[in-house]
Amino acid sequence: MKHYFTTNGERNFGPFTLEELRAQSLCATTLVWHRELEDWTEAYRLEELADLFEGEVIPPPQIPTTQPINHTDEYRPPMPSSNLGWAICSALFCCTPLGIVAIFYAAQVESVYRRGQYAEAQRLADKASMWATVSAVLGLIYIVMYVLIMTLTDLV
Amino acid sequence: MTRKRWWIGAGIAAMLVVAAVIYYVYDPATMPFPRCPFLMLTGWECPGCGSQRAIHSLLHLDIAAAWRYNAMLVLSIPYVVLLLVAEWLGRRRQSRLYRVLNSEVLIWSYFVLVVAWWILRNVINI
Repeated sequence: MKHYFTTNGERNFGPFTLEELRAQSLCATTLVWHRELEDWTEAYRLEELADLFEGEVIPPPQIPTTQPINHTDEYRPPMPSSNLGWAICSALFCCTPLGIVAIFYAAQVESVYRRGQYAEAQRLADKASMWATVSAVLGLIYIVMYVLIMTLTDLV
Repeated sequence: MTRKRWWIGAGIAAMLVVAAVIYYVYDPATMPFPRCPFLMLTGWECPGCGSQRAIHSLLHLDIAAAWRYNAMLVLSIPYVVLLLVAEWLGRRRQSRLYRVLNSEVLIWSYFVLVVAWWILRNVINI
């Protein structure tokens, strides 16, 4: 059996059974919650209550007030990829010193993210990726030049 | 965006296959493959020196020889493979495997290991 709760924004009421809830003088916009709902929902949106408000004019929803984003818990972007695999490959196959710089940045992504500095974590992840890419590009240029020069000297 | 990623992935996979064939067929120990510029300039080996010969050995399933050419590479391959797997499985970046592999402790340990390897291989010739 579902247990319903209502709220007036300050206090919660309930639990109620569906019958008890329907017996109350609900407004169409009374906020209702039960465990299958993610969030408080206006009563008229719930199938089992909708018939109570048939023919009623539903007032428009309130304009949501913009709240400052709280970076500590509510807003939590996914942890950026540390790009470590990329960094390791560039350190072992391409331009080693730059690849090691990439590992140095990749190592800090997780702890900075855990401290809640999400933008900083993203910046470090991007730096790791950037140095790994520079290392890879330099490595590729070197290989192409090397092969070219070897072939040319062979021809001469 | 996903389409672009797909093409990048396909391009990398194609390059890896070509590289694998080249490194399987030709032995960098006997052929004039590109030499490490750091080694040529300084006379010291870098952490990646021996990677090409190690890959040739690995492709011929000779792990002992690969270990002699570049032990760090042999140790790193399972780590990189796990990182890739975690990246694909845990796209939301919060899976346990992903968190462990990317934990600060593990990466710093790896960092220290690579730098120690760089120094030691030049000092005691491993």
